Order: sequence, then C-alpha cells, then structure tokens
Amino acid sequence: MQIHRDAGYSKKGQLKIQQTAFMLVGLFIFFAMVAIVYFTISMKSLEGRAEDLREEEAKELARQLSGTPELAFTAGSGCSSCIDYDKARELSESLAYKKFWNLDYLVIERISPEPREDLVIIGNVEPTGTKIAFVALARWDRETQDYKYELGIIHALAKIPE
Amino acid sequence: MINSKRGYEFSFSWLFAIFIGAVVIFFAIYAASQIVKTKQFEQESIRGKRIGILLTPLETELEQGKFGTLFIPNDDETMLFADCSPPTSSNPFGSQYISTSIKPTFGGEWEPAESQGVQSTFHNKYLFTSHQNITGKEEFYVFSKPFNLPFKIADLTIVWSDQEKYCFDLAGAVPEIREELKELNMTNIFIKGVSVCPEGSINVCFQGSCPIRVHSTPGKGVVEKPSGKNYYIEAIGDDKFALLYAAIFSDPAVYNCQVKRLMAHASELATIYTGKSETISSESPTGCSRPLQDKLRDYKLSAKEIIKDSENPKSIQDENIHSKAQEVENANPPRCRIF
Repeated sequence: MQIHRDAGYSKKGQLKIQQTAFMLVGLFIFFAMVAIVYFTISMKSLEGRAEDLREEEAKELARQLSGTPELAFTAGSGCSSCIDYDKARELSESLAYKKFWNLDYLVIERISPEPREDLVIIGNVEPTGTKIAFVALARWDRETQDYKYELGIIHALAKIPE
Repeated sequence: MINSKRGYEFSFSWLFAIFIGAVVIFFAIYAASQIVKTKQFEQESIRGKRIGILLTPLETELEQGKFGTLFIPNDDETMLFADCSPPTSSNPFGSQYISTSIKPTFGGEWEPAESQGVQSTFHNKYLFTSHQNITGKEEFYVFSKPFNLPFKIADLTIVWSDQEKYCFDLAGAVPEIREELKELNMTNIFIKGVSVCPEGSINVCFQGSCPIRVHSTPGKGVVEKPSGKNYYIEAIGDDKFALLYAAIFSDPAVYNCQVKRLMAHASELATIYTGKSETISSESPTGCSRPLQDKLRDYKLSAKEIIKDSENPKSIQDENIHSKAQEVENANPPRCRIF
C-alpha cells in the first residue's frame, strides 16, 4: 500500500476504472442475453420452416406416388391412377428402395375389401404427423385370372434431415 | 506546450473508453455481417429444397410432356446448382443434388461457388441443365418428359433459365419434334419461321451447321455441342424423343451421369417386374408371362453394362439396350400384362 501511494495512484482513478469495468461486464451480459433471445427465436422459426418443408414434400410425394414408375399401374387400361399392388409387394422386399424417396415411412394399406392389409415399404412403426391419401389399388386375381380393383390408403412421412 | 492552458488532457479513462468503444463497434459489425450471412445461407438452403419439392408436381403421369415455370421469389438473382453423382454399390440409384446461391442484395461480391446453401439430395429426380450451374434473374423453366424403355423409367426434367434462349431450326427434324415444340410454345424456345430468334440465342439444328447439331438415324443419334457429344437412343412407345431433348439441353458431363442413373433405375425396375411376373406366372395354370422373365434378365444385364462402362459416353448405344427393351416389350403377354 505504501508503494502505491508513493507511486501517485489516486483512489478516485481506481474507482472510475472499476465503474467502467462493471459497466462493460453489464453491457456484455446485456448483449449476450439479447443474442440468446434472438438465436432462440430464429432457431424456432427455422425449425418451423423445416417442418413446413417436410410436410410439403410428404404431401407432394403422397399425391404423386401413384404416378411413379415403381407404383403406377400400367398393365391395364382400366385404371390409370391406380397403384399396382403386386409391384408394391415386390418393392416392400427390395432393400435398394429404402432410401429412394426422401421418406421415413411409406405404407400402402388395403382398406376394402376386408380384411385390411398393410404393405410396409419404408419404416416400421407409424410415426406421428404421417400424411395420408386415398388411392385405388389394382391387383392380379388368381381366381379370375385378371386384375381386380380395390380401395387403399397411402401413409407417408418425409425424412428428417440427418 | 505541456504547460499550455489551451491544450486538452487525454486522460487514461478517455483512451480506455475509445478503445472499448472501438472494440464494441467492431464486434457489433462483425456479428451483424455473420447474422446476414447465416440468414442468406438459410434462405439458399430453403430455396434449393423448395425447388426440388416443386419439381414433383411437374412430373408427368399420363401426359407426354409438361412445361412449367418456377418463379424466383423477390426476383433475387439465383444460381441453381444441379450436381449429379453416378450410381455406386452403396447408392444404387445415384443422386441428384440441388442447391442455390442468391446474389447478395447489398455489399460484397457474389461468389456463388463459395456461398451456396445446403445441398438437397434426391434419388428419384433427373435434372438436365446446360451447365452444372445456371443463373436465373426472375424465372427458371422446366420441361418434363417421360422416358419409356419399354416401361416408364423416370421423368427427364430439363431446366433452363430466363437468361438462356434457344433457337430451333426444325428443317430436317422428325414431324413429332416439330409438332411438339410448336404445340408446347415454351418460354425462351424460339422456332425459326414461326417466331423471330432474338440475338444471343443458341442455335439448334437438324441439318447444316450450328452450335448444337443433331445427327439422327433411326433408333439413335448424337447431339454435337461445343462442349462435347451426347449420344441418345429413341425410347419405346408414343414418346420416342425424350432422351434427344435431354441431349440437346444438357451439358455432356451432366448428361452422361444422368444416363448412368437412368440405367440403374431401369435395372431396379426390371427386378421388380421380374418379381411380379414370377408371382403371376406361379398363380396362372399356363404360367402366363414366364418367357418375359428371361428377357427382363437380359435387359437388366445390358443396363448394368452401361453403368459399368463409365468412361464411354457411347455405351448407351453400344450395349443394344434399345433392342433388349424391344424384346421385353414384345414378350409382355396381352393376356396378363406385367407393365
């Protein structure tokens, strides 16, 4: 202490520096909090937009799936917008197609005639938020040796980006 | 000077305040520019993904071709990157990557190659563009054509921008192409004799000499461009010239990669049809569609050869895939059609 006084440091000057330092720390904390609030809001909005895009993609895909070469019924002129159930069955056994569409879940469910039957193409357990679309199904019938038309639902959910 | 009463004393607290002020302003400017960059990156990533999604409803179902316009939001000059990766054992269909770079509204130079958004990956899309990246100021144009060999393999999505204009001289072209191009009346596609070709448009011709010259023979042909040659084959069915359109509009590197991907897709579809045929023939007393199975296997082998022959852009013609496809088509029994 003796040395300080001899060197000519004033207590008033030290206090001012302390005040400035406190003010700077306060300013830093204030800006940090503003940044945290800003990034939280912008992350939420980004997540929302990503979710909207996923939903849009699943809807467009579900709408267009009956026209894709893998599922479209092209073997007869009876139903141009039908899904080929026999092709879908082959597809469900193919490993190559698990990542073909940007989908986490794709199931074709036959609802009429009973009994109901699920054909799982991608995924296992139905996640929440799955989009559905009603479709006509065409299937080869062993009895009549001709194609038979049934009613079904497509369940689809777009992939969560990695 | 030291003792002058008019002099101003620069105390330590002043110097300290100026120093801290400068640091705060520097960080504020830095943070603001980083936030602008992040927002730009976010917008570019979303735009790339949205373009991919918007291409889905432009795919054909029963139509022979579909033309659509993608409007660029706020007229921000946008560069569209359409990269293609060929099929591999771990990625059997190859990939179509779509990303964008948006010209900054203020300040800084536009370096599209370094400032593009996240790439969106698609395995079921085939984009044909004049370069690996194309720039649009207000719009991109999309022309979708189904490619049947003999069953539908995929839609070929041809994309060009409002900065690209094509002038077709249809003398010597087959009547199907002449009629289709006139009927569709696509934006920035001009036909000599029907409309006036603007300055700076790229000439396409079927005879004589021009930058994009189509040499066609029955069943196949080649499109000569300054950047290289695109070999094509005719499809089977009503719409024979899907691959010719892709060859005209596409950069050779993009075209060759997409052809390999199409063949990989054809090969997987052949597996599905073979499976379907086996199921149906096992349920039929006469074994209906059994002869088709061998034809499908041959077809699949040819498609695989084209994929393997990655260095040869002519492999699509050399492997006789067209004749194998015709054999498959002929073996598709009318009593129990498989496709």
